[in-house]
Amino acid sequence: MKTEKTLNEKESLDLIARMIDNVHMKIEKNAAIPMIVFGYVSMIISLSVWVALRMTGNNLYNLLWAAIPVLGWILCGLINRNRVRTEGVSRSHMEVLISRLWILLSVVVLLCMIVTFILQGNFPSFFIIILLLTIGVTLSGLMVLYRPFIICGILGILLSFLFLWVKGLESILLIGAVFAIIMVIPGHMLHYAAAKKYKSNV
Amino acid sequence: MFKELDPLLHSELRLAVMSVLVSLKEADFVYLQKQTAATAGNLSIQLDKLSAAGYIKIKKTFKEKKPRTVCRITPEGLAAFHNYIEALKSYLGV
Repeated sequence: MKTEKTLNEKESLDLIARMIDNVHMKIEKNAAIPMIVFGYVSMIISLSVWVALRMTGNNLYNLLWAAIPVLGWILCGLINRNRVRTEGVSRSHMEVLISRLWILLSVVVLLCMIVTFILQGNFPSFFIIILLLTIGVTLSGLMVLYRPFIICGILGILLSFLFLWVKGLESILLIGAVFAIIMVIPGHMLHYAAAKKYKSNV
Repeated sequence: MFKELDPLLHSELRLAVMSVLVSLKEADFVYLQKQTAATAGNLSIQLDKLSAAGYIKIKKTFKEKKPRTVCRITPEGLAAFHNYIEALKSYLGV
């Protein structure tokens, strides 16, 4: 862009609309990455816990659940670091709000995990944890006004009640399926849609 | 009667910068440069002009020993931007 190029009124409005649109598309694209990363990590860990418990029967393998936030944050941090180097840093009010929501949910989920270990299973942990996470996905969807997150989130909320009946090893497989529905599928849809829109706008 | 267009905002690069910042809490120099496709020199001059007018706030910090310039729109800048859009609308009869 030239330094002092003056625009006519219509060009000015077009420029404002284009810039705001580009920023929103970037926000949408970036919002999809944590969902995809945490979705896949959760699916892989669920499957690993299921295989380990099925083969050994040792409940200590439930500690593997703690690897979800650790691996998720590390991978997101690495991806973000690379993005910052090439695209620079920006923070929207919405991103700040969504990240605070997920920090709060992560702390509550962690507390639920600790309580589960203390009470030795006399606590409907899967139901409460999945309910919290699906509420988080639905709220994130409502904030960015992205319909697949809202629909998949509500579907996840309904599915979370299944954990009141489904017990044992089957419930672990169900967790993997729920993460695919609430995070992986809508995450990929959002990423693909935002990338396509961004390319056509550049 | 037509409202007068703010001359500070009626320039391509400064308007682009303000349009980006209006949607964000803050953005750094690299991000603004990518979004506006401006040269570093041009962008730096225009950011200084917007900052001198009180439309944006510039914070210079260091991250991993590298200088980092972070910009955010001020309430005055936001008001000026809204007035500018209202003026544009009156010109275009929108």
